Amino acid sequence: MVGKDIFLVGKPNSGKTSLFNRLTGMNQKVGNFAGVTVDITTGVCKGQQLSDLPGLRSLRSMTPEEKISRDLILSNPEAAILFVASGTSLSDDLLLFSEIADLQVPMILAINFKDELSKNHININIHQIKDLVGCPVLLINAKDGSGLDELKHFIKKSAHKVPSSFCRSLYEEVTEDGVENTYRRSMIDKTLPVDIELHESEFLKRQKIISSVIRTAVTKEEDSEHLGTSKKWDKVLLHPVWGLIVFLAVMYLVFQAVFAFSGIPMDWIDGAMSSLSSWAGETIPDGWVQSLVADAIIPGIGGVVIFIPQIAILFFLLGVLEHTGYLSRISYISDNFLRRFGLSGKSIIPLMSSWACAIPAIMSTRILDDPKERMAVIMASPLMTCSARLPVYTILISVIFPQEGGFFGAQGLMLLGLYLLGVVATLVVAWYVTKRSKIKGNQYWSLELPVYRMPNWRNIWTTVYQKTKSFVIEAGKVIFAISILLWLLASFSPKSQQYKEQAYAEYKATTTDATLLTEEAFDVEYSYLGYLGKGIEPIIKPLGYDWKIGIALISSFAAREVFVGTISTVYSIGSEEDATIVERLRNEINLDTGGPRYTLATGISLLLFYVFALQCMSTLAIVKKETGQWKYALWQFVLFFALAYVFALAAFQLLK
Amino acid sequence: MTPSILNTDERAMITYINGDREFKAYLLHNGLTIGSVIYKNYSPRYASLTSITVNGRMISLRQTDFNKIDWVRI
Repeated sequence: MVGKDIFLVGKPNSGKTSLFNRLTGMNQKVGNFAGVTVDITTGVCKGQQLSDLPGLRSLRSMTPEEKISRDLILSNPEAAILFVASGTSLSDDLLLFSEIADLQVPMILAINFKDELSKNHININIHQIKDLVGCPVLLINAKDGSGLDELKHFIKKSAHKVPSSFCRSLYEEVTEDGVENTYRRSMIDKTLPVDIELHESEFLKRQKIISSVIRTAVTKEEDSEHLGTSKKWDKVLLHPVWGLIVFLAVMYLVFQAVFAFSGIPMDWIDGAMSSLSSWAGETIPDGWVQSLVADAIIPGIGGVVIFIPQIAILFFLLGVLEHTGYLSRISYISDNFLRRFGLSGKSIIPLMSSWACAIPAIMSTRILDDPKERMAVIMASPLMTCSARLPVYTILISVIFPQEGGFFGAQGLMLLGLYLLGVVATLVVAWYVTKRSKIKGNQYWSLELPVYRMPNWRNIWTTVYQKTKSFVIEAGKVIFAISILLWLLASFSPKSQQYKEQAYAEYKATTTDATLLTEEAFDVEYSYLGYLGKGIEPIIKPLGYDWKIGIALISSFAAREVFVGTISTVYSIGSEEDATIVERLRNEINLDTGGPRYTLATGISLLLFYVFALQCMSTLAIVKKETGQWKYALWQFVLFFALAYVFALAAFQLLK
Repeated sequence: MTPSILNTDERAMITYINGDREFKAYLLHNGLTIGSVIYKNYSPRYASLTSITVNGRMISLRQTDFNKIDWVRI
């Protein structure tokens, strides 16, 4: 039985999540709230249910994340508040504390970053602060856990107390029934006009009350060492030259690390899944159950699990950048450039993450507080060249540009061009979405530059675990379902087995082709998937494709990388080695012209198709999860498909 | 509008905020209002952002927004 609801509230960067992780351990669950996709993490501490609310600057601020916190606080007057304040900016944090205190809900004030206070010789007189706020006050350090035993004891005893009021008296109105206080109502009722003069005088009054105590209770707040050190670092890390060099070096290292460190575990997962699939094929008796398990269920699970290393590594590295305070500096550096496309510097992280994989990138758009900007990045980021496009690009470029030309060869330039095209397309789509979207964006923008700190490893690991788990559960369900659907289409045929065997025997007897199709490839041709490929041939013929490429396109709608495996099967290649596939594709004959099927025109057309088409069901699943609606995922799918078709058509018709 | 430029490491007090109510409210939520003391931090020109410290927190505002704030050097 879980007891009282306690909301963990505080300003951004006050150390709430670190404290939450300390108090709840791994005993957490993530809930999705309707409307705006913001995760509220809940956990249990000493029998009480603790919820970690998004950072809040003021009860009156209205960014999507802040609105969630605000609405939860205002609609749950019976819930207690555990307010986390940063000891290094106490006067600022107490302004928010005082706004919540005026709601007269039971509270505890936890002043965090005890270590930084002592390191920077900042002294806080807790007794004076307690006299000011009128509820229990504790000095804690969420990083090393000091002061948390006492805090847990307070939580267990439900020691929260209704604090002193600060400006509540400003909202007293005399009615027929007596004196009514309208403070809570003024926060809830959105129809009331914004009385900025009242808010200003209220703010000044709060500031005056708090400053009068802080002046004597806290020493060395404004000119403390920790701010000075950060400012010194900023002179290097935000410098027009050095700042840019450090920024490029950090980004290079992050993405190299994502590729380099994920390669081995991804190969391991791939190998393990292949072995498991083979084992299932040998153990389960022949039949559709064997095929379902070995060819659909296990590869379907593998298709989800294989992304775990990339997601975990990327979120770990982003976590390190975020915790050190450098992530905000990256946003600062890139803001001016991205503003031309309707975005802000905060978008740089999800956009660059998309080079590794669009899935963690879309998940990381939660750092964007502007809903319009967030939507633009969600909609545009799948156009950045993700790692799944790389095997497709590599094979097709090798087919159409046979000669290696060294460092500046055609193959390398083509690959670079495709990456640049992805960036340009992303920025154009983002610009278009910000211009046309009806979502109300934030009119004003500010960026907090937190002080530089050592990362909190415990917190980073918890985030990595939660994000990875969220991906596996949410995106995994869709990937799994579509894998089974593709298996059904590839495994069953409208023709009888006898008909297929007879047709294959006739084909073997009559064909003069040196590269004879295997029976497996023949089965694919006569499957529903094969018929689908033939069915779409009239649509894809103007792009220079035949039904075999059509099958590869349809099957790779699940995931781009499936293209390689599918063409291996369709062209009867027993192995998936690049060289073999490349050779086979180069030798493929276009029956209409008698020339090669994979000409420069067809190759460029296919490459452009893969630049734009959204062939990744995991991405669609995550877009649905993050936006809360399928319509955005469908819109994205249709738009990108249209772009892919138009560009591929134009390329083929111009180059043929 | 304040005609002069606040230099890095200089301190000022906000005397007036130009702009609409929403803008004033936005600044207020960031701890900026008439009477607030601000410190100008290092703000390279390429970014078109102005970085300041207010109430112990470092925040950056768009240059155009910061220009709407009148201040007096202290």
